Amino acid sequence: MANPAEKFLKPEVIRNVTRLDLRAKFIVEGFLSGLHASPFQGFSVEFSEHRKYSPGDNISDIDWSVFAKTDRFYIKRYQAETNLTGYLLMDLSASMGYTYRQELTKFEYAISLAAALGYLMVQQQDPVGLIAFDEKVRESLPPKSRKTHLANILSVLARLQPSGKTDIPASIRQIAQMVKHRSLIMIFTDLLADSDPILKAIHRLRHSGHEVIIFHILDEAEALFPFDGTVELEDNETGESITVDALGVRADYLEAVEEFRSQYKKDFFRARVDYVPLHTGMAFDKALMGYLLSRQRKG
Amino acid sequence: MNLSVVHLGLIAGVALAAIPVILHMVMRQKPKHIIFPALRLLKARQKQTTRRLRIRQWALLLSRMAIIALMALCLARPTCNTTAPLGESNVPTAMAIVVDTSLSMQWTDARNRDRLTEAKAIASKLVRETPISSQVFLIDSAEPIETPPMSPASAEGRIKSLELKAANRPLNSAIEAAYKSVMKSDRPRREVFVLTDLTTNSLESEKPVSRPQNADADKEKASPVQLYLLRLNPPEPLNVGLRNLSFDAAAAVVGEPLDIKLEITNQGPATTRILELWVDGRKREQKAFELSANADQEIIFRTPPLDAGRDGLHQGEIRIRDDDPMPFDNIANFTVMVRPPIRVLIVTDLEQDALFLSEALDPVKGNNNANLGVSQPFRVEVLRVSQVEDRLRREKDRPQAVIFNNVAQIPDSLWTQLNLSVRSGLGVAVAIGDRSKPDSYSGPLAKQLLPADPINRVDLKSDEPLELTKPDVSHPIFAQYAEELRTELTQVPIFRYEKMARIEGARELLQISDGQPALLERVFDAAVSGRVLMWTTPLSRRPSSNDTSAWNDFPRSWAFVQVVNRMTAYLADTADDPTVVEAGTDLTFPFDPSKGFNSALVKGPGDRPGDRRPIDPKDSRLIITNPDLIGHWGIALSGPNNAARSTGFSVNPPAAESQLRILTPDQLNTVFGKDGYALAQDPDSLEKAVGLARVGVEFFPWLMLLLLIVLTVENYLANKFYGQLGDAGAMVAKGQGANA
Repeated sequence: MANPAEKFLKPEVIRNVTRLDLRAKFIVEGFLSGLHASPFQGFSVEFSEHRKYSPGDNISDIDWSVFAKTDRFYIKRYQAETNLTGYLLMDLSASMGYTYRQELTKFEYAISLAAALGYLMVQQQDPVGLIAFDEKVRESLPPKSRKTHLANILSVLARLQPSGKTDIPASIRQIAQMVKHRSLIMIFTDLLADSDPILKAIHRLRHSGHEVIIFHILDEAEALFPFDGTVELEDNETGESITVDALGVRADYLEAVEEFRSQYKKDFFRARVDYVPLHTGMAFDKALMGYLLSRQRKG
Repeated sequence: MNLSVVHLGLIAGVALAAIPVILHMVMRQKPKHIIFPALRLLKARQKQTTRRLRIRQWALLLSRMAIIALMALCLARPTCNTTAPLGESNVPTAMAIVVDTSLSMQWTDARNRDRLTEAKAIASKLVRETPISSQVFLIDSAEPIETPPMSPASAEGRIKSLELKAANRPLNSAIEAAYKSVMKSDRPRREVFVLTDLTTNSLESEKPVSRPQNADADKEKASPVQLYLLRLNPPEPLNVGLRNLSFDAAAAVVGEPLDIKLEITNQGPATTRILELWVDGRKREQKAFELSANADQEIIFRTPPLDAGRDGLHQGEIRIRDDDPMPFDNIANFTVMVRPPIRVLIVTDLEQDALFLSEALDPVKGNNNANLGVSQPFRVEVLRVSQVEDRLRREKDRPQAVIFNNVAQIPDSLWTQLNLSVRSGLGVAVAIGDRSKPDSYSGPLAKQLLPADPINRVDLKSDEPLELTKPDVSHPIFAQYAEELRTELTQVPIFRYEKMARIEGARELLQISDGQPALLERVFDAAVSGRVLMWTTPLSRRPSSNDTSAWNDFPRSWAFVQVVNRMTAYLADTADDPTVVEAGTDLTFPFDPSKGFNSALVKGPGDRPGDRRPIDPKDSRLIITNPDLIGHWGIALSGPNNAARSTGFSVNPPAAESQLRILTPDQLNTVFGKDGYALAQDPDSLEKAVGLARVGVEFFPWLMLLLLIVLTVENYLANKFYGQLGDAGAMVAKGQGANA
């Protein structure tokens, strides 16, 4: 990451930025600056409000000011043609508030990422909405593309607190009823619940014509199991606990995690749902890339 | 074999293997409480994981316990040994050393060092290395008796004085004496060392050595007597030796040569040896002999005619000219007592009855004094009964033996004369035949002389003859060529014989195959007396077995010549004069008590002065016990009135000593029991054997190897089970994930 802006893609850096709007800005700028130097440079063009002129395009759409700067023909894109309504779905389950290393919790990681994506969408004048749920929908903001709307989203995100149990399938079913237009549904969750009902609910979203991206966020400790000695592990949602020799079970646990993710990946692939496995130690660019790929397909 | 440890206290360290368990129990950590929302992922595999984890933990626990236990065992130095745990070299010891001093220990190696010198050096080393509080029992195989204990320093001095002894004994008795000696000692460790070449003559391989049991069974178990055999045999036993010297004649005769027979044994490849005949200090003859590889060969030397000399005594040797590693058997000594020919009267009624006897005893006379080149030990006169009485009364050329063969009748006056003569030393043989009238042989005068009374004649069918059987081979008549005679006599057909009733005290020397006596002997108890032999069938034959006077075909057998020669020499009391013996064999020299000898000077070989012994006037014999010096011995009898007689004998090494054949392991097992001894081939292996018995086989190197293996296994298991931790921890610390 040669560009200084790219350092904000690191969770350990971004956690030092307390204001969520700044977090979103830094993440997106860091991501975009990295993208200019990357093989995915074409995205930056796609993200602009111009595209290359091609035969058949209306000549009146040519942006002559850009031609004056670049000596190339670009045409203005119609906003109605490119607008994509996005919903940020935040899982408020107690498990999302978990962190082992006292850095970013899963939820903090999720809202940072959600803020960045909201920022990015608003920058593109895509309307973006917010829904937070646990056993049912707790908070919601309708999608709007105004820049002032971003402040509302960030404000809600900032005061959300994960707590209690969650019912992802029920909440998704409720959201499916709420969202009438074809939209890009971005779900930020740890998926720590029964998989079959979740899959069914996701399928329903897909049947309603929505594009779905699952940001599957685990804590770094949940992904790598870095414990030592005898530990008593407690599920903070169910209250269940077991005592294990951490070293002894580690390999089996990691295998179970891999199997857990692989199974979701396979199922979501069949449902044409983008699945982005993450943990709180990972940089944000992967998540943003997942969004852009999905956005591109849609666009 | 017992298992013991050198450092007993350290074996308790094995208990430290419990440390991992105790640590696990005592230092069991309180589980760290961690919130972990992904618990459901762990629970899904908990059963399988728990089982696998338990196996891993057990494997690790056991390997760690094994490491500690093995370390403790290594330090304790466990050993496997045959004895009690007395591994320290400074334990006071009851040490018996049995040294084989037999002549075969003379074998000399290329360094000019004989086996006995080697044995003495090893024995000295053993006593030097034993603690000064030890007791040493030094036993010479030639004197197998219990000995008093000595200090190691005294024993070393005694060892130096050991020397080869020709008159030796098998080691069985010496080892038993050694056992008894050490069993009486109160020293905590008891050991018997036997230093020998283990040749076949060194032990009686059929006779197990008895090991006395200690009354205190616990003491016996705690400190059993260890037996170490050190085999000092030559690596390549090469030897040419002379043995079993004998004379090929019943007696040496003045003016006649004498054939000397002996065996030459060759252990090694085929070779040639030059042998020399020395008589009375002068070399008389030498011959070269081709010797086959590893074989014995019988050879004959003929002496020049021997004169009467001083009482007929001649002494000489047969020598191998070249040296070899074992010189003692390169010389075979002999002594010959040359006598005038034995005068024999053959008394018959018919000429033909004297024919075979005369021919057998004096073939020169039977062939008109032709020069046959054979010895003439007998001078035979053939007489009729009527001539015998006068002949016996004549002082000049008094006969030494009279043989009556198939004589019809012996008058009482002759019986009277015979009674007198026999009691003055005459030997008489009587053979009953068809002419013999039983009444003449059963009268009171005859009964005073003969060993049996005639009963009746037994006439067998000529087509079913009986044979002679069961010769008494302990008797001088049958002792020579005993086995051959035993076979040959069974081929002699007997057609008729006189059944006899043996008188009390008579000895049966030969039987007819129906169990009846064929030859009987009567010996009279007196200072000088003759012997009387009685044949129940005549010493002559007839051309046809159908002839009623044909009683047997004995004269046709070669055994007839041998038996008649030996019988006549025996009757003349010249056959059993000992002249050549093996070392250690007792000898008896008879002499005429009427000469009044009162002292004897017995002088052995070498420069040592003779041993003068007084003689009881009533004694008629001189006994020499256990002559142990090889060479020529002289005996000079003397008495009042210038009475004197010189005689002598020669002592040769025991024939068995020339054999260097080694006892087999099976034979040793028979003698000592399979686990009753430790066999060493050389001083180094003796040291190892002693170490093995005292300290045993150390398991230390093997335990160390095992420890290394277990350590490796433990390390491998620990890395395999928990090695991923380091990588994962490092990755978390760097903020990198598996999917980063």
